[in-house]
Amino acid sequence: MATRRAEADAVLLGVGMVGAMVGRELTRAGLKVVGLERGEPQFTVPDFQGPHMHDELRYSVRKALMQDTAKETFTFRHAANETALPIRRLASFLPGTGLGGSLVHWNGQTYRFQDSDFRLRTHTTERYGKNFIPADVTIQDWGVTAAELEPYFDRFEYLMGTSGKAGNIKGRKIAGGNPFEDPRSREYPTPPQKEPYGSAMFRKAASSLGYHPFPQPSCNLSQPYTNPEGQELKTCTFCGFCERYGCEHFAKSTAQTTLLPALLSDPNFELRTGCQVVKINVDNTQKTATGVTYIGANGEEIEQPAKLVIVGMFALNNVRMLLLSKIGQPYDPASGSGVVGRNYAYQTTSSVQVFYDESVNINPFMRSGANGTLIADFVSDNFDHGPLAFIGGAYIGEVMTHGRPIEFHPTPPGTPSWGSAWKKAVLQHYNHTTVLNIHGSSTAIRQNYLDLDPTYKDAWGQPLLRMTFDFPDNDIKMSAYLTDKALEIGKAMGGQQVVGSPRKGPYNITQYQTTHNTGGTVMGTDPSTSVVNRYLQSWDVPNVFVIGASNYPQNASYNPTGTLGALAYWAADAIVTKYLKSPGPLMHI
Amino acid sequence: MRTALVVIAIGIGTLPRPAHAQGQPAQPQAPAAAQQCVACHGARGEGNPANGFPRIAGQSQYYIAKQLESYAAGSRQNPIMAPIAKGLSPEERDAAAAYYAAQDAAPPKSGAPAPQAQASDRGRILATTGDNNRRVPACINCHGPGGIGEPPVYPYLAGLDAAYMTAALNAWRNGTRRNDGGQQMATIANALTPDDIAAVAQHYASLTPPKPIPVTLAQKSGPATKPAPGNVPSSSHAADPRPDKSVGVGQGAATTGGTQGPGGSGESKTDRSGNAR
Amino acid sequence: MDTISRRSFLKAAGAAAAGLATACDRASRPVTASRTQYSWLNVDEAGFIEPAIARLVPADESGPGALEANVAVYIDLQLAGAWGAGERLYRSGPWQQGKPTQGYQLPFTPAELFRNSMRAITDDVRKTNQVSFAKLTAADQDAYLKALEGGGKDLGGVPSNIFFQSLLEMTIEGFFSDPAYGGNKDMAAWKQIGFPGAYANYYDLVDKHGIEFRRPPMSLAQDASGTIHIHVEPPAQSAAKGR
Repeated sequence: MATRRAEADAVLLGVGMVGAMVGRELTRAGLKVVGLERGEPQFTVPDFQGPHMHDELRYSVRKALMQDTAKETFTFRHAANETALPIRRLASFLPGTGLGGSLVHWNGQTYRFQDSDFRLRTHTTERYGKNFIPADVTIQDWGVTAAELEPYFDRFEYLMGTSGKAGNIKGRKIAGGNPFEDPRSREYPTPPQKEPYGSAMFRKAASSLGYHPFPQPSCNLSQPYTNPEGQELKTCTFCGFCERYGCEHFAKSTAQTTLLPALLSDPNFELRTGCQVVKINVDNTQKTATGVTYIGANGEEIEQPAKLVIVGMFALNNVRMLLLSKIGQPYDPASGSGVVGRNYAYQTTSSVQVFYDESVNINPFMRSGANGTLIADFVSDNFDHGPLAFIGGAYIGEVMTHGRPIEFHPTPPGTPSWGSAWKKAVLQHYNHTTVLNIHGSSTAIRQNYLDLDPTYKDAWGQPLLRMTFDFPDNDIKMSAYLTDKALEIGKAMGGQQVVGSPRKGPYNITQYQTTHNTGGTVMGTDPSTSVVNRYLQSWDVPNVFVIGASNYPQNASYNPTGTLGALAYWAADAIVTKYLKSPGPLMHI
Repeated sequence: MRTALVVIAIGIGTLPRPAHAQGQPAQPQAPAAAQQCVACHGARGEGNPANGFPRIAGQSQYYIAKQLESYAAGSRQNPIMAPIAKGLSPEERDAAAAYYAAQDAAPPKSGAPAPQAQASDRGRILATTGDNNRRVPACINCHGPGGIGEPPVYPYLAGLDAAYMTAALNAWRNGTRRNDGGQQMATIANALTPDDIAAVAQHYASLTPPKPIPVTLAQKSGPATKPAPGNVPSSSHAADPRPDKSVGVGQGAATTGGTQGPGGSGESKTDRSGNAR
Repeated sequence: MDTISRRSFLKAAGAAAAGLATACDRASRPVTASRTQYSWLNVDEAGFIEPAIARLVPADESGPGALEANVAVYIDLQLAGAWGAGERLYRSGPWQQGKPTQGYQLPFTPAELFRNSMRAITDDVRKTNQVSFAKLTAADQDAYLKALEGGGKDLGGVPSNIFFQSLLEMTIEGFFSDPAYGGNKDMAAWKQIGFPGAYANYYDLVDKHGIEFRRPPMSLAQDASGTIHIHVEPPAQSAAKGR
């Protein structure tokens, strides 16, 4: 029998960035909030301090900050006619665990999705006609526009102190910024980070080809910054240990550096770590959540009643929690009905390597996670797709993040994978190679989805989430076209050898690609194709809000975190200004 | 391009090291540019803590030259150093800095407390762990294990006398020292209390200074410069005239930003279906 | 955590010969029974691992290879510890083989996988060649490793390509990881590629484009005197959790 705790006004499932943001808004509105985090507490001091943090084996290879797959993982298959098998070690994507969640180990690349991304089906149909979208492509509109989200993007960037250069302030184009961005209300809070050598060579080459390079917006800060929460961030030192690492310098914007000190000192907030939520409890009307049940650090089953349930975990875990709690109808790919698990998408990444001779010192280790230079000329629908017959796009940039040698030791094609020739090639190219990234969108298709695995279970005896995914033909086509574009830029950068590697199927779970898993609890304005409404409120159980990249109906060209930050503030604002005044559905059909 | 390299060797290992271990060492010959430094900082840069002149032996050439430049420009203020630095040309500053960078002076004998004896826990904790509430990262992140420095940019702190360290931290704090582009030291010093400053200064004063660490820092032309972001300093790379030799490596995996096999290694070429790790 | 100096830990490492013999020289003077005191590898296993990693990452005119950089010690410590026992590895059945792109699906922990494979290799080499792997010529060693890499051999339940890939990854990891873990002795691998190591802050240097920067690398496990303290029990969990 579960121990029953006193009822909270709101319970947070996961105290990562989303949990911290929403928790802060709700406690400020006077609510008593309990934050449940499955992992351990962790702070800049002492947990992320050097020199221990700069341990490539422990953090990059052994993945010490990530979800422990011995306890909890996912199963994977390419298609419904395969047997899904457990991902026994994380590789392709890396959900974090512990206080602060995945943002502890992120790179800090902070973008805004474009308006055409938010209205993808409408926009595509308007521009290219009804027949342009293939039948099995289930892309759809988000139910919000870039203009509606602008104040929330702005607020998120000013929380984080994002370092960047505006390209469009209230419709006025600004030289040096991203000319394709939608109007923003003001400049970034801090200027761009310093530009490394490889990025500078990319800038020159891209400009010479008529493209519009701009500095990557970064949450590794270019200068000290005090945010509206009174939290002071420091300047990034370009140590080259961002992704998969905590930042020792208070220079990376995370829950730890932007919010947690304020939240944790608020008497309205209670943090509990080591708490594995097993389900959201729903009353017998199936329309109201009564709270959650979790297993505490000592194995005790505990019931935490709450008036409001905020599901703010990693995208995949959000989907799993709704399926385990039987909230919303699970998606069935055969009939196309149901919504939970529908429109799972990823990110279609590829690369171009530029090998220089030994006179060009790239110094790849002098980097931050987001100090590159890129072009948005091929993002989303910034170019004519008519003759190309695919949807979506990619940014192309020299956005290297590190030179850590276990992960980074490039060799040209034809080099053996071991022996004398391999070693010679590694020594020859380590400091003289740069890599362009083609960071592409991911279309949702009918066959790609998430559900509960029938066979494999986690350490608490609950079914694992099953992923059925392979790269859609559309995205393979897109990758081939844009990798060629990147190859042209790479050649203009003057390397001795330029090598492009477009994305090809089948999807390989054993290679790191990105941790940008999206969809499964899609937002929208139609309950037959979305799990949550435009305020991220469950259509089925209105006192449950689900916030994460799981809300994305499909994934866009840019990295997803900036948009997620905006959505979290958007949803929190709806809760505080609308829901709390009149609890119940915020949208009626 | 290679022929244009100007090597700024810092603490070159091949320079003769003074044999100070026994008896009276031979007095090293400071270059003309460093003659003015000797009176206060000593022939080997051992300093004169009793009179407030810090040890500079074995600090990197980059660091010493940058301090001289800052004194001359006013981003670091000192009534004695300012006129001296202004009187030196950039080449002379580099020469003086190179000389002292190579000096392996004996550690301070008197004046400094016995190791650990007077260093408080607070000083040691700030140095090695930091303070989360005050947002102070550990000193070792940049200043190295035991404060031996992270040359060429980050100076060693071990064995610097406490009064000098206290004055330096206070200068960061009150803004009279502003020669840190990222303001890392300014924000850290501002977060420390006077007691913290005393404690951390005492801690580092109790440690043994390192021997010179050899560093090569060479720019294509002339000494290191700071190009504005976006400027490519070299135009020597024309487009590759050779035909496209590119072939796919792996399946489009970037070799940076975290590509890895199942065990986490950086290889992207080979399918590692069955890796045990 | 107990730490011992690299020197005392490895002073008996006779196999890790000093000097920069060429790859061919090394193989023509086969490594005989190691005198390194391993935690986990037995004599036969060491007799395979040492020459094998010397072929995977050979010493050459640029500097030490995997053997000289003590990668065998790295592998030994990893397999002896939590990692070898399957830390962070999802180990629930049912066990079934899928497509290669679905990842590792064997029931073995890393330590079990290595032990089974190396036992089978020892037997196989003796049966076929009447000598141990270490006594084969360099060319024959390479040919044998290539055969493993190509797959098709069953090594006590482990497909040989899977063992080979595991060995190669461990070798590269041990070569390039911080010397705290026993490999990359004297930071030899970092010196050869020019990686400055764990102490890393480049605010002043990142925009000095194309600068030639060489500094002796720094290990996370070095003390002020430069002595590197090997982690005898390498932690896979985060620093906080190890404290």
